[in-house]
Amino acid sequence: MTTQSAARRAINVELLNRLRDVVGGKRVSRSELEGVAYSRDMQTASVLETRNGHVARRPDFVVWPESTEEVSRILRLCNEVRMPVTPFGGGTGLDGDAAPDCGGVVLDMKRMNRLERISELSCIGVCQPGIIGAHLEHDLNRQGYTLGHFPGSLGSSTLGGWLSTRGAGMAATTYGKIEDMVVSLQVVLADGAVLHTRTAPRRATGPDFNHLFIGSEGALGVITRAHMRIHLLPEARYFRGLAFKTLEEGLTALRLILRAGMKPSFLRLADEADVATNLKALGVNVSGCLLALVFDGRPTQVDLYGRKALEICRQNGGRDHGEEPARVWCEHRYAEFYRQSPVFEEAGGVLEHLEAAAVWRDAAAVHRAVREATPGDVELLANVPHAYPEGCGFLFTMVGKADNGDAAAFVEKTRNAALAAARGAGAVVSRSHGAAKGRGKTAADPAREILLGVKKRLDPNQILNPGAFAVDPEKPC
Amino acid sequence: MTLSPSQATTETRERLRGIVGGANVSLSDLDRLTYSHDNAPILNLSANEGRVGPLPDVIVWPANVAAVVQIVRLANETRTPIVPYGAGSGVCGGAAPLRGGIILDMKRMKQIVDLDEESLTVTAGAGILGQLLESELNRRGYTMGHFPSSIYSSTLGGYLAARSAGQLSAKYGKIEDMVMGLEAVLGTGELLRTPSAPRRPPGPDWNQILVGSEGVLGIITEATCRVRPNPESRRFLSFMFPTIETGVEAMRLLMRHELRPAAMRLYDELDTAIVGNSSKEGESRESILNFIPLSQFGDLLASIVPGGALPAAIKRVGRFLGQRADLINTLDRFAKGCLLVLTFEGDEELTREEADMATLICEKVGGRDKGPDPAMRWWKNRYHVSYLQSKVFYHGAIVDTIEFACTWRRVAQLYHAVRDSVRELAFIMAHFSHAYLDGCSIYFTFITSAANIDKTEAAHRAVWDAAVGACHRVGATLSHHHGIGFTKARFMPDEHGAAMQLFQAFKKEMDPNGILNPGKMGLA
Repeated sequence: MTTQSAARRAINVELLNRLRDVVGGKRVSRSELEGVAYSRDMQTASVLETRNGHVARRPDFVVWPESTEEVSRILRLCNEVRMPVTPFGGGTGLDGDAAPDCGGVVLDMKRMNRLERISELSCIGVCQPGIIGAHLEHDLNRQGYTLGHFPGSLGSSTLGGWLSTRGAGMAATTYGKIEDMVVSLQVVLADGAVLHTRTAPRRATGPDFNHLFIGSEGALGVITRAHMRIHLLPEARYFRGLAFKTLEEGLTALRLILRAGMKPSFLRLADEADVATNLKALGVNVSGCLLALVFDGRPTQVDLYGRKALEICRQNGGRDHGEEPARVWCEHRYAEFYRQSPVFEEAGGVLEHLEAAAVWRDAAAVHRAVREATPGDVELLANVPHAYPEGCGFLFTMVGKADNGDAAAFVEKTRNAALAAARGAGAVVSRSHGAAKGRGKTAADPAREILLGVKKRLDPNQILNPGAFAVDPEKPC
Repeated sequence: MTLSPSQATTETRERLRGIVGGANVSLSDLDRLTYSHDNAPILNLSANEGRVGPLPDVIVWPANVAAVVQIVRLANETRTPIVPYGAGSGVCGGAAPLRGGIILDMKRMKQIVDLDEESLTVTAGAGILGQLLESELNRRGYTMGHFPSSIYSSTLGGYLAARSAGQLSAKYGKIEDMVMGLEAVLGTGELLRTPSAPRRPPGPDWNQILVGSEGVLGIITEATCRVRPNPESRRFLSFMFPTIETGVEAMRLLMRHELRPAAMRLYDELDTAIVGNSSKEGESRESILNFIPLSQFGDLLASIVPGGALPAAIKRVGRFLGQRADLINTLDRFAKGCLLVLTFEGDEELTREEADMATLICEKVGGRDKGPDPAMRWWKNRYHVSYLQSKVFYHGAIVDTIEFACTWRRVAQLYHAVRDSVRELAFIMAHFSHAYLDGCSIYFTFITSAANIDKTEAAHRAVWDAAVGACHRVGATLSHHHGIGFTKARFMPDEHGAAMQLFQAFKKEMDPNGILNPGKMGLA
């Protein structure tokens, strides 16, 4: 537990009273329990630490704002006394983005959880950031719409979290990634000023500043409202499962389907190990690699897509397994993400993920390189959950037993080996503890220096999620 | 005519010659005059009247990124303004050297570095002309899908810097959707490269900061963009709608049902009447500008109005143009119907499915099927408009275009608000294009003139002030794809509000000495 200086304690007493003035007594907490609960997200290393009874950096307060105005007043207060503020959504992040690295205030956004309104004419949903994905989707579905964003964490992550970490859902091929869905944002800056980007379908008026806040992990401002593009619920759905002898054949078929202009909504190209472990557990029985395809859209459209996709798969070595494998996987697609805890419960059992994206030219090599870099005593499962005309994303899962029960060391070692191999083969590693939280900084990176400079101008007291865009990532506080 | 002498010092000249060779540095009057403007109407008006605006001191043609780095370092060291220049087709003065200095003509950086046929990406130098890139891609079986009407006289770097959108944006996306990776030289001479991956790395998206920055944050030297296989088939459809509102409704429904037409353009009554009336094969139907010279304009308008109902005075419209804008703008009362042209392209079967669905939707909201011909005529003449404006200027008038965009909910309101706001000031007509799930853009063309150039300039400024005022009151954005340059810079605080401080922060970090394209976009 961190020891607080006398000065910090004095500030805290003062701040507590002022926070209570803003949100009332019930929406501020400094209890130890809450402090532990909000000390981390789902980053493997910190989950393991907590299991071992070690909590490195508890927040001083947890605050639950209910409006943009409250967020603005809270930030103004914290800015005055140089108190760190870390926005917090569902806490499902895997990179420690929402961890309060320097203590201070955790701003839990989940009371700002409403779909405020829908513009049916313009297909726009005006949303508060703390809404849980499944709730948002449910509210939209009731009115005949979908956002089209389906991360594995849909049941426990928030819109604000997706935006702040630039998430991609399982149906990104059809509906786009979260950044493609944003029309405009409302953001509170460190000094409490409220900024709106203009609501327009497209603008040529300079840089697109939505993209500055998307992916910046709360380090430049707190997102308090988003205008999101929404789509009519599709009328028809088509399922198909195809088995391939090798992952390479499956990659080729998938690439050609996208090249021909057909976009699956959900897809999963699973390698043999992924089929034998994850998909089998969901009730899918196929041998070899599996390409599960789902097309959503107009009835005539999905039939046509299905027929043409099937043709392409057959020409590239695919064996048709009918609707069943894709239907079963699609129906259970969220289940596997909640089955990780049992692995931790097993003594010394460790599981780690790595996401990597590559253009098609490098895709097979990335998969090969990661497989080769994985130690013999570690099981590697790989699948392709995202694919675009230019390339695809891989999700690698590494399962093993830690030497001497040192799970953290296992994670570090396995992950680093896979990461280096993927990068070496030309992949962009999207979950690398890289950008905002700073590790892996390279000296000659002007982009990083510019962001640090912009951060200093927007947040001169460095109160917003100080672990992100930190000048010295090793010592953010 | 004698031009003011170049301010470039002997040392600067020598150093530039050392970097790119003597043949690639020019201080000639002709070059300095040529590069003093782009295609901004207000600059064309001046040029036509023999007025000379701010001149560059020197024009330099770098052949590679290493040279660009050295030139920018030199400029930064000597605090010399530096303006990147593509093909000069911009219409907002974005490439005009307002404070003199160096013009960096990028057109020698025109190599296609790599075409990755497996990943469907092309990497090319920023100075390549759009049409040359497209032709080379076509020859090898691909298309970039980016077709601005300036395609023969605009560059890849210009598209990126000005956040361009082509005529087939609904299918292929706008330039920001096509770009995967960029290379840019910052105001310090540092190089910034973004990786070309299907997924952006964590943190803010640098591509989206650089795209649209019009050379004020960095000079784009190379880009990797998505390409698509050449379409195997193309379908053309045309529908006539009774009103603007029903036509707009059809566009909205097409997008709402996730159809992806390649082109989709709806002409307002006046534009339709003119587009639909000309019959000579090969003549452009794109715009009223095709009917210049203005002396015949009145006769043409008269001929389209049934039963000779047109007031006789309008037959001499050339003379009245601008001065009697209010009268001319009432012509739409006589015009009937709004034309929608649609194209679909790609796989034979997929486009058939889409075209059938589009026909159902259009007919359901009152569209009459006019067959493929009007759409095919548009297709044939789709690039002509940009080359027909000069005649207006010969008459001392000014023609300009305004492309606002807004959500569907506000489209009709925006259309009427803008027309009402400029009704007394200019002749104005419009078409609707670049449709999205959430809205579309309205492309207004206006012509105005006055007794002399000063008054014409003032009239032109008044039209913009009135139109942008209406635009912002409705809640629309003031530019869909032309950009800002200097002609719209005064509107930037209203357009961005508090977000302007973000732009300023990036400017200070990326170009601390303010040498990159100074005086543009509402920045210092």
